[in-house]
Amino acid sequence: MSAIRRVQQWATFGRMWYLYDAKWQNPFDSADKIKEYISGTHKPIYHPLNDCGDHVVVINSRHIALPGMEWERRVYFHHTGYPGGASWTLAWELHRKDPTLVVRKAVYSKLDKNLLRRGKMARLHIFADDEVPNSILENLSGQIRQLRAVPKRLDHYTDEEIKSFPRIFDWPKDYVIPN
Amino acid sequence: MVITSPTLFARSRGPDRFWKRRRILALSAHFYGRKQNCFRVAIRSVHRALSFSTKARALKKRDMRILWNTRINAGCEEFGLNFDRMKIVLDDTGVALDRKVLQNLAIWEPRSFRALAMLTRAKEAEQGLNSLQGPPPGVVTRGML
Repeated sequence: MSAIRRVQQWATFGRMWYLYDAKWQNPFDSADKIKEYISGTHKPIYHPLNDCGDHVVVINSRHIALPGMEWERRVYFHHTGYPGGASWTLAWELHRKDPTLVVRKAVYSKLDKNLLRRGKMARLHIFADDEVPNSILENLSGQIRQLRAVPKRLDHYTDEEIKSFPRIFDWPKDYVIPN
Repeated sequence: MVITSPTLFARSRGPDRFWKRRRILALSAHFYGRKQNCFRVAIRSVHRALSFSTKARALKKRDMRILWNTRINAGCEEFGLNFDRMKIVLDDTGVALDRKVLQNLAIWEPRSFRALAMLTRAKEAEQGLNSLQGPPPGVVTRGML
């Protein structure tokens, strides 16, 4: 095998590290995307027995956005195994306890239910905020596009930008804008 | 004792009970426990295994098709496409490549696959589908000439 071919093989089978910013993203839709990267189905060389999944580093998991009434309505079930050991935790309670768990459980439940699942989950690194340890940061080599762009809030625009924004009509001078 | 010669094979079909059983036990040689050597148990599991392999011949075709779809979709994703869109264009333009060939191109000839992806984008742009700009660079369509 020539040197070029050898490097080509390293490049093909090397593990990539991807960054995913979960800010204001739906964790359940994001899980579909992340699942592809940690199980390797985003590569044409994919095979179920070929361990070609990549690492995904999820940041800002504290700032995820659940759709609709999901914070109050979504319930996570746990049973200790003893009589009366059942417990139901609402999504907002779980998120308060550990801000990475909603994303972790979303990805875990989207993965195929087989013996490879734990190994794939080991390739998922979730951080509540945007502070990532250097040992992980130096591996990063790619980024997964966010599902939706984070919109800019009105109070984050400068006064000049708001004033120069094109208007359809002008208010009458004696019109009082209610606050 | 394996049936190695035509003589033994002919004997295994005849009245010789020992060689008749060898034919079944040869198929159960890799089984675990009594299924391997006891004929009464082995014959049952050999029938079971053979019926599985009959069904698997159909399942294998389905599984390969799913795998090829996954691979082609992965190749298309790199160019912001998906196979459903590419399939329609390839059919329209008369590119008669099946899934097996397409996934092979995606793995071994990424530049050929890229050309097909660009063709898909160009054709869609020509029809005014999925594109706000014109066709991607590097593609010459009939309308341009």
